[in-house]
Amino acid sequence: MIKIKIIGPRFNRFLKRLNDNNINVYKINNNIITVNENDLDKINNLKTIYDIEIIEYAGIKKIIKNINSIFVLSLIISIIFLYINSKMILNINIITDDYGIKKLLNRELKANNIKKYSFIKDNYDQIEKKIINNNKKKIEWLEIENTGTTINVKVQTRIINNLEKQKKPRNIIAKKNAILKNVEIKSGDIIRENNVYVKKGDVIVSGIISFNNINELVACEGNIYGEVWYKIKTSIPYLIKEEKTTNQKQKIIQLTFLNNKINLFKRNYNNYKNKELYSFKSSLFPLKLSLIEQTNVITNERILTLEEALELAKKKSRDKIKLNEKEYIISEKQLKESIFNSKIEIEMFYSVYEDITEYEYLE
Amino acid sequence: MKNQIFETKFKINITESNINIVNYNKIIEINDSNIIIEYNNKLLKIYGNNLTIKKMIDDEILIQGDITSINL
Repeated sequence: MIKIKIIGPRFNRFLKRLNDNNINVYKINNNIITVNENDLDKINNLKTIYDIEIIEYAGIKKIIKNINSIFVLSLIISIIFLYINSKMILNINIITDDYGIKKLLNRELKANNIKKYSFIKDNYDQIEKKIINNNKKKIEWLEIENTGTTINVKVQTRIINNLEKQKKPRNIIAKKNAILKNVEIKSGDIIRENNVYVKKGDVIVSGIISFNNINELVACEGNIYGEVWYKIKTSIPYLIKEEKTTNQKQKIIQLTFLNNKINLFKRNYNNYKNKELYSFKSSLFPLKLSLIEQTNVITNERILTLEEALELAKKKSRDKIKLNEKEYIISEKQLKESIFNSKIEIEMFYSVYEDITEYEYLE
Repeated sequence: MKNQIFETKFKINITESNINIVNYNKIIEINDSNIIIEYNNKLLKIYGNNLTIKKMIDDEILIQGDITSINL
């Protein structure tokens, strides 16, 4: 499209001339008309006494005319910048829970020039093989994958067979500070007596057996038990909520979107416990549809007496000590009691008969 | 639908200060006070003051101005 000015008398007559020659005029403003650029030659042939002055181009030609060198230069620079950025590593993701392996891989990747802001390579296969060869004892399998500007490193660590580990020569050491109470072993040399105080890390059963001036290394097997002391602080509020589960149940269809849960067709009970029976999760969207069995729960609030609160605090304190079958609390003593407006706080001392076995492998 | 899109009937749309004419044949005369359009072997005469053509393409014409009368 092009805007032209018609200079001359009787503009309307010229318009008629254009119309007679099937020239479309898209806009007329005083004596400035907008026509198709292709018709310009035709108009020039028809003009006779009239003068035609091109005012401006419209459409793409107008845009092209306005593009100046600075714009072009900045466009080129942006394209180059974008290209370089797309070929750069902006993020490295090592997928493993093992902190030691993560640290090792970070070192290895840096040594092979795979680091942030370096360029993406095309020989990751060779680098994978090199890293595995250098760390055969620790790495079973490795994959370095490039996704856009992110490098994902997937690793499988070498798992040492438990049986192999058990056969390795080792000492039995104390896991915690304790008074040694009992040593039950199948192999090894007991070097500490019962009822002595041992510190964490002290060797209790040695894996080095001396016989006729010959030292033999054995894998000690057994358990050691000691009396361990604990100080535990616990506080209990006077106002407690007691929950009682009723027989009232209902099935609910629940839609979960991101962290929002929406019940379809039914409302929740005022207080409830949910048990998920079935669920369907979308792999494309953060959506989950579940069938839930909901149980109505009645909650009662009540205020404890001082004695009740004290008893509850002691019970809660005891529960903090995790014991297995052979372990037990030898004795307990209340050290301190603090009474506040809304809660009670106690400090308890416990002496516990506990398994303090730990292994220390010999080279 | 085809008739809606490829309309061939002569049509005039009149508003307060505009006349839009569709499917005319040609312009016979244009000046400030009257414009004569040919359609289907007939003439449409538009009279007024400060009449101007705002758009003029193949089959459509838009006239603006102070229109006093129209003669079909």
